[in-house]
Amino acid sequence: MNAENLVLVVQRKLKASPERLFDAWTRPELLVQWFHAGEAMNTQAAEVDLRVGGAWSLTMDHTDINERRITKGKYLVLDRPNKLVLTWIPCLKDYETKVTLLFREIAEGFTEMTLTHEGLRNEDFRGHESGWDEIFKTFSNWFEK
Amino acid sequence: MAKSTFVHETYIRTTPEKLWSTLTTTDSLKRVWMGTRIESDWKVGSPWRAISPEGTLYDSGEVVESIPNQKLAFKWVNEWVPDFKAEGYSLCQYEMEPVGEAVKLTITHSAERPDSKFIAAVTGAWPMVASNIKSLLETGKVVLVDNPRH
Repeated sequence: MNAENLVLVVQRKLKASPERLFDAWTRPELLVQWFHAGEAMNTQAAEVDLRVGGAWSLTMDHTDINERRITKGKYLVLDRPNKLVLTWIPCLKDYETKVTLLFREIAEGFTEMTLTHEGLRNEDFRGHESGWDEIFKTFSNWFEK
Repeated sequence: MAKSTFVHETYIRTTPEKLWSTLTTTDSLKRVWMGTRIESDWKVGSPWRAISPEGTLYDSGEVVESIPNQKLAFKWVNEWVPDFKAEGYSLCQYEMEPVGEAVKLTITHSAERPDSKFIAAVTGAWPMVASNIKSLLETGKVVLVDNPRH
């Protein structure tokens, strides 16, 4: 199937306020605690310049292949706690994609989080699809601790 | 007594058969509901449930009407938010009607009580889901429009 221009959409509901979720996505000391795309990937470092146009980067260790890879981008929209938009350059690649996160409080302390990832090339789509799935699993577990 | 009701109408370039299949197949529903797994055999009296990929039970209910390619109605209780669960059952129905080369899909989700907090909450989710149903059937892709509430 041709996945070019496919938009990846993932939604999760979490027992947390939108503020807590937004902060988990934008504070480096929190990102390193949960942003792990699977058992064999470990986010070692996060750098965040939290302003529109500011850069972010995540350094991930792939323990299965013994490699360190960097995913990076910049912030486009910072509307705490409702919306976060950032550019995302897939690791080992040189093109930009866009990630949008919407946080909608459906009841006090319960939030629906929707992630859309646009602009991924065919060859990177499935990897990111399973990657986000793993990241959200870790994220849910981390929140429920 | 006044009810809480959400109604959404959308026209989709497809057939009633394909629309019915999308609304009753776990794999399609997973894409439409952005990762949530919805399971049932969609026969009258059968249970249905919605669970997250992590296994959290979000919703459950029972099928009350099932006319293939025309109408599907089911009771729906939210299992995850205590305030919503306390409201008890709501009723959700899909109605499909061919209109030219398209099918008109009417989604109605209602609760007997006025000012239902659950209906208010799902009112924010349905436009995204309806958009996904349309995109999936017309283009084979799920393209989510930006939530106008933000």
